[in-house]
Amino acid sequence: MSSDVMISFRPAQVIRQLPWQFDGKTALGILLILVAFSLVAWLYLSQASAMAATSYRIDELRLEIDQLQNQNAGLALEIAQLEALPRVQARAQELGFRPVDRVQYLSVANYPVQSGADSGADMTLYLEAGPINNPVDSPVAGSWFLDALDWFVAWLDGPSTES
Amino acid sequence: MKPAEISHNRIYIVISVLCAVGLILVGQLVRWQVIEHPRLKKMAEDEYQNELIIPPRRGEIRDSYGHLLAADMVEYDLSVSPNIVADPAALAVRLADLLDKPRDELFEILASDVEWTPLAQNISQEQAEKIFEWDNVGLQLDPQTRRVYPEGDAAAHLLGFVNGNGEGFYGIEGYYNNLLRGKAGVQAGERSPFGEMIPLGTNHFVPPVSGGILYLTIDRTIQYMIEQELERAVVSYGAQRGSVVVLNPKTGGVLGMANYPAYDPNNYNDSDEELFFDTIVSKQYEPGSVFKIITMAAGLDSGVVRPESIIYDAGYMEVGGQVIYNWDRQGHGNVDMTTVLAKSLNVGVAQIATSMGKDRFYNYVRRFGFGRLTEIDLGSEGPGSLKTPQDANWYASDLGANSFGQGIAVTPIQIASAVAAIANEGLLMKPYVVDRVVQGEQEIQVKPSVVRRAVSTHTAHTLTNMLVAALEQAGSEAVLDDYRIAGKTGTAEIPVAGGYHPTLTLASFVGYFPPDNPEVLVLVIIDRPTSSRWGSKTAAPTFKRIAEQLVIILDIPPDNIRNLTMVSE
Repeated sequence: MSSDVMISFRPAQVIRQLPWQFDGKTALGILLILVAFSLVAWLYLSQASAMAATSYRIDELRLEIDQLQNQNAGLALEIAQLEALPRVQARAQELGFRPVDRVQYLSVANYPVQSGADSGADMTLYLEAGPINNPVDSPVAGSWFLDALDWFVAWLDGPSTES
Repeated sequence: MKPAEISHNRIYIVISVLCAVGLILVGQLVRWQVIEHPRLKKMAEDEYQNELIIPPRRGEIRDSYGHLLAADMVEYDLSVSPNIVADPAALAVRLADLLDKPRDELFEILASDVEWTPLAQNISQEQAEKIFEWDNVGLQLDPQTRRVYPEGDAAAHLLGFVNGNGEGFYGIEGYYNNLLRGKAGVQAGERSPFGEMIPLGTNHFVPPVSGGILYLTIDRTIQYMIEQELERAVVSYGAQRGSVVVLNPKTGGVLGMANYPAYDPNNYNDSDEELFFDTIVSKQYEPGSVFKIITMAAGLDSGVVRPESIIYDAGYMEVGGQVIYNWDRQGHGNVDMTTVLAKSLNVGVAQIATSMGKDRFYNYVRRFGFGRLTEIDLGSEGPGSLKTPQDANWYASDLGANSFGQGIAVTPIQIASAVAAIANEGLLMKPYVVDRVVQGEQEIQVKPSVVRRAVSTHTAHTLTNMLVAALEQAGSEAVLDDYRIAGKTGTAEIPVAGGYHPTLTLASFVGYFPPDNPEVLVLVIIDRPTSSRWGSKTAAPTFKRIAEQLVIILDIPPDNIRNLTMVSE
């Protein structure tokens, strides 16, 4: 190594001795690059943190959905338990209801009948329980009532236009 | 040696040693960074990667009207890390109020130095939410799913139960376990040192898929009613057990099926394992006189007999070297086919079977589904036991015995389905209990399935009229006021080692109505009644009580009203 070169480590001397000294334009360019880089970095970090926050929120909402579904399931079960037939039967008996053991059917002449499985239901009126006295081929009971009903229906329909 | 040479040698030695050390280091680097790389990478990933399995919600089971019969309930197990609890006294007070436990006992646990200890089990959702709100670091809530059956022991055998691992056993829970179980979800990603999932980086979420919702053919009102009547019958007749099946003969849909004694699927651990088996599909028995319906159907359909055919009943008959007697050990002289059914004459049906011949007779028996599974969608179904002439252990005397339902073993669902074929104009339907499956937005409707034609429509109608007439002729206790019933009683002897039990019987009755347009079939089996051994005195009255309520539940008007309706149409 040559003994002629003098190297000073004082800061002011160090700067003067730096081989890569540059002018103001270069410095401005470098500064602009730094600013641009910082902006991009800030943008990236803000987006990443927003994403993280949103993801945490999604997890929280999933947990909330789970809890709400569990609540709903619990409530549905509670409803089912309250609607359970042994409970309903016991409650009905407490209130003075008694089981239906007979149903009285009322046959109405010329009543419009629906086709299909429901036609039987449309033909019936459920009245208070009582013994059915009429055997298989006997006339329908209460014919005066039916006559009165026929008259009322005819009165509602008005005069017939058919010849 | 000159000093320079010595120096050179020493330098070479040092260089060699340094090279050797270098080679060892390089070798180790290659080992850890190349060869062991995959394993070490996985170890590192395991430290920060986490895969959480999200259990699915098990599907619900509902009746035909949508009433809930089985569903999952979430409860929580509460545990605590006492060593990180900041204020054990205050926490003990809060927990004591919430859990209704002694405060001192809780304080003792919370003030200890243990790292972790369980505190309470099966905490309700409501209680768990309050604990969540406290946000106490030391408390931990682990969700546990429990299967709940809100109707208690209703339809226990039909539903089955689910064990602590979420697996279904018996009944619908067992048969449809894969469908009800659903599919687990996965949440995979990186986790923090505290165990929380980090939302950035690799993150993978697959939501769980809940199990399908099963809507059954069962009407819970009918189910509850037949269970009550069955229990009443078994207790009042001093029987060991009983079964009832209610079917829609036109579709094969099961409206109700009950066994007594039953068990509570909510507490299946407290019950004897023998009770878990559904005897309706798995227990085989000798059907007795109920089987005469099948023999008569075969005889009519094959043309061997007609309703007005007359046979001579001497009270006994020899078939294959075995003498067959009527149940009353009496002869009844010349009788027609309706009287054979009304008086349940073994000799009468044995004559029909022998007249048909063994091949034709067993062909019909197979056509009605005996000796094979009905393929009802329930687990543990048995095929029954049917010996045919092709079997080595079949004897000629079996033809006579089988004609009146002895020496042949069937399951209740087999006999119900077979008689339902008569009610359904000769078409044998496959019985089923699940009506439709709802999975998310998709709904799959199960369609009724025709197995085969067992007999002609004409035969079915003719036999139905004969069954109605036979019941009326016999003055059966199964007959309802204002409703005609087609049916048959059965009193089967119970086989024991060396023969049949001298006194115990299996009493049964099968019937369907209305005969002109059958809407429902009911099979009642009372096993070993002690008040009376006869089906006419035990199973038949039970059938009547069930039928009287069914006509109300199903809204079936009396025959005279329905006849008027049909005339007016």
